[in-house]
Amino acid sequence: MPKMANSFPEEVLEHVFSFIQTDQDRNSISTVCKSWYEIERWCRRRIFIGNCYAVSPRMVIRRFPDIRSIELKGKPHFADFNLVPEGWGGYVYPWIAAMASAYPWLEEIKLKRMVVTDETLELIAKSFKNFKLLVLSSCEGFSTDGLAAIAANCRNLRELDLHESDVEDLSGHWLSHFPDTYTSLVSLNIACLGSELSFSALERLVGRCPNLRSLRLNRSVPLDRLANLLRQAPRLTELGTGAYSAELRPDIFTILSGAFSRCKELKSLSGFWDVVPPYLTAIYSICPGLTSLNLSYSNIQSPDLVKLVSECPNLQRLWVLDYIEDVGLNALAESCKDLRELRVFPSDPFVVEPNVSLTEQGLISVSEGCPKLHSVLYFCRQMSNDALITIARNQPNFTCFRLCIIEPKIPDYLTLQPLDVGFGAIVENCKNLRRLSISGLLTDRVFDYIGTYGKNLEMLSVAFAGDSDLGLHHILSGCDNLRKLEIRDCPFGDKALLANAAKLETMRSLWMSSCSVSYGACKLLGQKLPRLNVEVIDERGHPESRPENSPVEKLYIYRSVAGPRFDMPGFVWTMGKDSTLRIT
Amino acid sequence: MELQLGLALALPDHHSPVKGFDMNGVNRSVEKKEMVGLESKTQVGNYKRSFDVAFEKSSSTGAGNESKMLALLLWNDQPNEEDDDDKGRKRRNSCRSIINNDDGGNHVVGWPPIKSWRKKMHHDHDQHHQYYPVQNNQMANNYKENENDGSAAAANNSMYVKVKMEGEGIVRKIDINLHHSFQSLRDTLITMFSKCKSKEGGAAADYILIYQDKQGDWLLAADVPWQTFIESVQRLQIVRNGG
Repeated sequence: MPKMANSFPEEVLEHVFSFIQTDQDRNSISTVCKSWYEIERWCRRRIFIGNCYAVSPRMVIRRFPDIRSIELKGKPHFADFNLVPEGWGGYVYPWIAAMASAYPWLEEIKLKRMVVTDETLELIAKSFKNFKLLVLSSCEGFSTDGLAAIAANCRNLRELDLHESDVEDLSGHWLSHFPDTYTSLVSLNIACLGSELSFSALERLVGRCPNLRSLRLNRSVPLDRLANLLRQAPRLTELGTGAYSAELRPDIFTILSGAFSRCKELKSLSGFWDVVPPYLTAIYSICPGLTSLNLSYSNIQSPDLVKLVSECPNLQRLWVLDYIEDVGLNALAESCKDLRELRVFPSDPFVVEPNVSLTEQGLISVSEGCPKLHSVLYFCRQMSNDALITIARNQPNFTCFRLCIIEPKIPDYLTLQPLDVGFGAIVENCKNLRRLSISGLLTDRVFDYIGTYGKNLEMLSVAFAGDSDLGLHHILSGCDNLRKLEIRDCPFGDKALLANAAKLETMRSLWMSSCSVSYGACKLLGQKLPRLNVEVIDERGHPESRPENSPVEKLYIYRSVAGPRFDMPGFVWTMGKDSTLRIT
Repeated sequence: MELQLGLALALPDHHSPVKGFDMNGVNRSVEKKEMVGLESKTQVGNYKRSFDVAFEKSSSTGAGNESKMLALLLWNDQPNEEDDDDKGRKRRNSCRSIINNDDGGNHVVGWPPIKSWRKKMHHDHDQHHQYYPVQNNQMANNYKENENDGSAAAANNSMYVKVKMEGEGIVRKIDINLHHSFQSLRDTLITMFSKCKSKEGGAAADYILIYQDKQGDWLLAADVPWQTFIESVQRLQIVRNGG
């Protein structure tokens, strides 16, 4: 094989490699032989780095000299739920600074859960000559001033997506920084912005960008403006509305439904803040074409949701609040046979008493009625083993099953038993399950099932579950493909962690908070496993000030070829060689 | 590399942390029980010797020469009985994430797992929610429950005051607590009343904002600090400048 490879000219191999897109395949190629490694690294154009601290920018640049597209992730997933203290890290500036000189032809940057400053955005705006795509997903630390710099300088920008980022809104006028000659916009997502936009700038921008396909507005855009925007962008495939309310006037309705009906290519709708229900029928004409509907910010109530989903026979993805209730999910199961993904979020997550009639029945209906369903996120207040067993039998195709029963440690409401058997049925029946979140009353038994059957599981989230180290041991010793494990408030401790220490080197990361891992065990892990960064996060002060066997507040372990990071705040300590060095 | 190796070899001297979790007890029971062995993968081959040194005692029991996983501790199938006291204590310690939050209730931090961004939206929902049933009378019964929830939450988080604009028939309500400055309040009011503004051809500057305080006096809004304003405002009025 190596001989044959060598007989090809490099250019030929390079051309062949250019057809191989997935990261995994590219990685495999580079392990074939030295010459393939060399050729591959010179022609790799896009990289994905699942943890910005797993490698340094310098190492990436040294190996891949001509990257055009980079995707980087920062903070742990639990940061979404405020479990990672503010100031933890995830700063993108060092990456951008290094790439600014190394990759002048960089075109795409996608960031998730990172801290992005205005200075960073300004550097991006002026460093990359042919910059085309900026996705800031769940990022923070920047303001509309930084966005203005991007708008003013990136003449070839095609996509700007601020998906659920926390942007400081200094001014709605940043949109007017797109120059009048700028016409290349294809996709704009500014739904997360809190302030009012400059409507005239927005309308002019939409009007002069003929390739605009995706436009997700924020809540400040009123309904009467929406019709105007739609008229200028009849080729939209994706639309996020602003506030979907106005006083009831026939002329507004006519204009709006006329504008919608001309957008024949619309496939995806979101937004719908503050809905005034009579206006909902304005979208009915385009409903048959819809494949994706995100109503998870929308206060639409069950009767209107029932009517709406009944108009959308081709829906593949629905995100919705629990206002849909069981009756709405029944309607969904009857109308939407092509449904693949369902997310039901709680409208009032902080009350224990149900405010809507949404139970396990709704999920059972959908699992029965929608044969293609493979991804579920479902918040509810009651569940039973029988229901989970039924769902598992109905739907062996699940790749993602995330069930959140809102009150922690709540048993099967019919039998008052733990939900072990129910979740066991899910992992046993769904052979391709890659992501799982479990909740409710759970003993170590459920982890036995998960370890035994969850062979394709890549990400597992656990909260308030298990009885002892045995639970964690089952996961770590059983789930062969596990890459991300996040655990909170479980009585898992040193024994399971240390007994499976080498498993951690095969995973991207492990998060444990409010568990029973001792500081001593963290130190040992850090010292013995040099490829792991073992970070103790403790806001009570230095862990040395407490006994070695006292549990740490939070523990984040990830593999890294870059060694300990340099930007740790005062409440984070890296265990291992460094601390030994400091002692000696 | 050599530096790392040297440190690793020195590790038995830093062995003290191990005592914290009763490793010796586990090692003694090793012979009876199934175990995960100590052989490291080749990738950590450089450090292998140091592991052997560190775990000399357990290696000498002949443990797990076939295993592919490195273990820093041997797993025995049953959780140790003698651990139980210790574990119970730890479990009690571990209920640390329950604190009081701003809403006044006992909530677990980060539970249910909802993105903070979504929570912000949810918060806003509560305040707008009450309009839904009002504009949809035929479904009023269905929504009554929700409406109550909405206004209970609104009582905590928002402060609605009536706004009247000179020359405009309808009095509107605005949530003052959504604003943090006169600028944003003024901007919202301009949008809210923009239709009648354009009808009369006036610009925002032609109007001034006055408010009624708790004593019932009408005052110029811009004359007091924002904090004073929100503490005392009862009603708002937008009047034509000089009118």
